[in-house]
Amino acid sequence: MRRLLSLRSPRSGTAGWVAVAAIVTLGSACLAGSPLYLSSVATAAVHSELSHTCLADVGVRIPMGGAQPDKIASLETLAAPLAAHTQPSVLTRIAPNISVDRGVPGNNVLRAYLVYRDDQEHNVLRPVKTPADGEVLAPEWMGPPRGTEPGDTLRLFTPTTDKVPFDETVGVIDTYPLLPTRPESSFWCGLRSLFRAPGGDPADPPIPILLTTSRELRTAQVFRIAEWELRPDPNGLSRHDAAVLADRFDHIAATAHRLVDVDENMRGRTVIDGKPLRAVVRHAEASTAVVAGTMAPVRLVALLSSLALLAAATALLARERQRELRLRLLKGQSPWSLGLRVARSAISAVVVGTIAGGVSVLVAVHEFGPASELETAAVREAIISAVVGAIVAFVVIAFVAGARSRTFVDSLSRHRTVARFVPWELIPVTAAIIAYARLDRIGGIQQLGVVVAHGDFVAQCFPLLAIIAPLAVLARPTVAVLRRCRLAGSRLPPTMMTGLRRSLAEPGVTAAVLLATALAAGSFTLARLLTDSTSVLLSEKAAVFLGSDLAIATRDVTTLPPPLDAIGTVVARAQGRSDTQSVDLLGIDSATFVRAVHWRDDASGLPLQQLVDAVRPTGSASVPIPAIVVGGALPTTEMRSLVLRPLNIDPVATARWFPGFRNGAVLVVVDKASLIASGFSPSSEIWLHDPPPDAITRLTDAGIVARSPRDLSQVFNVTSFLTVRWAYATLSILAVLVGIVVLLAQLLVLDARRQTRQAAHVLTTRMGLTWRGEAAGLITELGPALAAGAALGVSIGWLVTRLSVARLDSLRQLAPPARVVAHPIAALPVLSGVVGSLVLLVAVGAVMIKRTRAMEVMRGTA
Amino acid sequence: MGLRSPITITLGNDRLAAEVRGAVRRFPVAGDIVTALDRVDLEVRVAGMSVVAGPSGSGKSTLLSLIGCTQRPDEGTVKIGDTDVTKISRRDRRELRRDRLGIVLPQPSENLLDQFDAAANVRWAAAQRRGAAHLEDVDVDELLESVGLAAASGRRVRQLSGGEQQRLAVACALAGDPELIILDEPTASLDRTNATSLVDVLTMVAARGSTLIIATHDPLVIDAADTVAELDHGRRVQ
Repeated sequence: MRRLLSLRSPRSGTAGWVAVAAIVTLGSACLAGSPLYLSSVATAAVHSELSHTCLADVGVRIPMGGAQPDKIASLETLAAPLAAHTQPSVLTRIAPNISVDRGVPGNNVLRAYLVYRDDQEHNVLRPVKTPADGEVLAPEWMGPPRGTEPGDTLRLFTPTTDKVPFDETVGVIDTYPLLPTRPESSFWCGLRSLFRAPGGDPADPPIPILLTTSRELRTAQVFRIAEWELRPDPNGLSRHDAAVLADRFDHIAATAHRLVDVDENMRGRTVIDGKPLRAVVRHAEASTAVVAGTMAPVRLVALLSSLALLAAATALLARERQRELRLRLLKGQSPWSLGLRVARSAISAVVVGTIAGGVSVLVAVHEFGPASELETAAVREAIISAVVGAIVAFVVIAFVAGARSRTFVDSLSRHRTVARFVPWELIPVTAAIIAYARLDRIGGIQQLGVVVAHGDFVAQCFPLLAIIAPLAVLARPTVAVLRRCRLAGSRLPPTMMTGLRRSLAEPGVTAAVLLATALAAGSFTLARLLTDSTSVLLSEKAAVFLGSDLAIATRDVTTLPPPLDAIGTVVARAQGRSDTQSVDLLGIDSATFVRAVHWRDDASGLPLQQLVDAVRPTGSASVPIPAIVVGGALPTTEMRSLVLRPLNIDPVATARWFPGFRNGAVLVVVDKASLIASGFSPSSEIWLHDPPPDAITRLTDAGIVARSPRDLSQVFNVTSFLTVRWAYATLSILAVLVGIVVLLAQLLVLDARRQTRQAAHVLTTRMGLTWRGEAAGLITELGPALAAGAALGVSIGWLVTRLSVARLDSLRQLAPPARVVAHPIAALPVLSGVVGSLVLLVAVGAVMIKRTRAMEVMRGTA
Repeated sequence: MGLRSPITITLGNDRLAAEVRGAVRRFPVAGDIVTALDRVDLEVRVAGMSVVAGPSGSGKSTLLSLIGCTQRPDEGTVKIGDTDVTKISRRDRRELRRDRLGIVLPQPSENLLDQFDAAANVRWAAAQRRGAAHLEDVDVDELLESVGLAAASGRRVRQLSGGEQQRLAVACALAGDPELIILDEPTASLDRTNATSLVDVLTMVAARGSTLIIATHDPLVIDAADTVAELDHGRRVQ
């Protein structure tokens, strides 16, 4: 480092060096940050997938015929190198087709599985007692209607025709509730298929699983199947690790076929290799591709800004060394050799900036990125990108310094060129129109099934282009207006007038600052509004689809236990036909419905309460029942159930959508009691608004059957949902980068005006000007462009969001339609950014003035 | 403007070190075009001290910059010796500037490298002209002595006064024996004593056979000149 620093010419100034270092830091962060962020997204997507997946389903599973201790040891040897990214292996021993005689008169003998799984009984949904010898855990729902209780005695046996018949009497030490679905503890994970009823009919009762740790039971010959499982450990698992692990799982599965006696005869209990984990990796990479597609235009803009700024900083560097460079030119040195000389003197700034940018982005992604794990390949790519960026920076500095030096001596006369009259701004405008047309046609990020699909690049460019295009159009008029206003501010105090006119004297610079600030503010506003709107939109769509925040299938329920009765309702759902058209029927309880659902005022011309009141029963059974028709028109007002029971309705209101509305069929909302009375045989659902975490336990404790609970997160794929957030977050990153660019540009402008400001200060201090006056002058010089730019940017960002948000909705077929969700607080970061920047700039300007040496200013050597 | 006949200025003796014919130079200023030189002719003969005089803004520096190959005329020709510098490439002009011209700018500090001492500055200037391989041909001590800076050989530029810096700049310009030494307002930032001292040096250098062309409005320099031409508004010469 000392050697690098010594390469700096003693005459090179600090401002230029700092500017180059800061801009290279920005560029390096941008270049290195992209692969790191994408890697972080990929790893977070893997984590998200794994957190919503049974780990046993994405691990390796080898079902074996009976216990094979030596073969299991061989498998353990194969698994040993993977210990860093896998959980300890699990051995499950399963005794299928066990007959259970509960000794209750009138009860049939049941079929069950007897399962032993390594010391994991504490994971059975709620704390249970560990079975000792001769004891088992049993489901409390086994053998309805009484069920099974602790203390019951069970006789477990196999047919006497078996080679080694099994017949044991065991005690039930404890019971476990429910079917373990979501959340699925690691104990149940992988055993799901055992519960499935033999007939495959959801109405059939599940097969009970009896759990044991009893030594005398588990050594019985009846345990015909032993399953060896190795599950991935999500902690610290990156996308790359997962991909490698999938290959190793394949290898283990392939080797197992040779090593052990694989038994795949049991239904649903076959070998699992690396394919499921590879599918997780594939989903994660699909998410990454979407984010990469959204990042591409953002990255391009950031890099171009960095290059433009680097050119400006190099010009500053050359200006600081202008005397030396001009002298060398006078002595006959080539401008390009001088460019190289300037670039060599800036090597330390480039190196420091590259390292600072790379390290800071590494820390930022590690600390604030979607996942903290960093893949080696991504880090390597980041380093290569940063090094290439540093080389490009060196070349740019050499080129710009050389080109700048050419203007010092023997430069060609400047003439106005036709290039000034070419309407360059039509390029971004045309691009924005093309992107808009594309977006309008194909929408935003696509969700195909559970996987997000690669968003169309041109369409994804629209939000950014839509901000850039109006700013490009405004560039020339802004310069023209500023030029015309160059004598403005004559009524202001002298210091403020001087500050204002100093900025108006350079309309190009002031316009650039104003428009760049607008780009930063616009990008930030757009990113914030798009992210908020998309999040809310997906929640709203999910809530309309489900009916509320949580929907639970149930039966024979009229009232809910407290406190759920204050947030829930019970609805009845049925399917029918109106002439040839399919119709969904929703029966609601007018007394409780309103408090249990979400409502948007644009769903109907009437408020929800009024709609609900409209379907209250009239009391007369012969009159057609009042109904709300949602999402379309009906050919006839006579509904027929699937078994052709009639129901006459009186459409009293319409709505575009309604809680429980699922696109594809018109929804008819009626009173629940009327629907049930009509003989439509509806199914019942409990809808809960903002439910407590233990809502299902409370319901089951109250004796209510609660099946298939579905919450908002289960309607759409969670990773896809997160991907949309990660993709739009890059616009926020752009906003921050552009904000830094604006700040640096302002600092460069400040430095460029240093001499005139110092000269003015030498003069004005002798005229009695105070520091407060100087500060007021600086604020008037720098503040208006920042403030106007921020206001313009926020306005354009809001307009672009309004244009984009509906078209970025890739689930337009699902109600409700997209809307802009704008919290006033979204503008707060922009406001604080403007104020903070202004304070910093005024402070830097004040320090510059304070360092004025009057004698040097007067001698012209400052 | 086009009807006015060109005015020819001839400076020095018979052989021409530099020749300017019909030079016109215009600059865009605040959206307008200002003519700094309007069809000026000038001949600078070999050996001696020639002065282009005139008030500020008369075009003296512009005229010297055309001769010094740091600007090109919009019209007309400029010759250094037999070379028409308006017809050669930028690279050839740069080489000509390096090999055949010595240039001294008005500000003393603009002519020297801060990081070097006096002797190193002269050595560096000579190396630019002759190449580092031929540095032994240049007697740095003699050059410094000729401008009265023998004792200041090891002093850094910032340790020298303005007058000393300007004399050092002359020594640098002399290093490598250029055909023509161009000095733009060499006494502009010097006090009377230092200016007198510098004029003495310039007189001595001219007396040794070097060709000097100086732009100035300093009577001290004008009085010491062998020949004087005067510009006014880029077009009047008396």
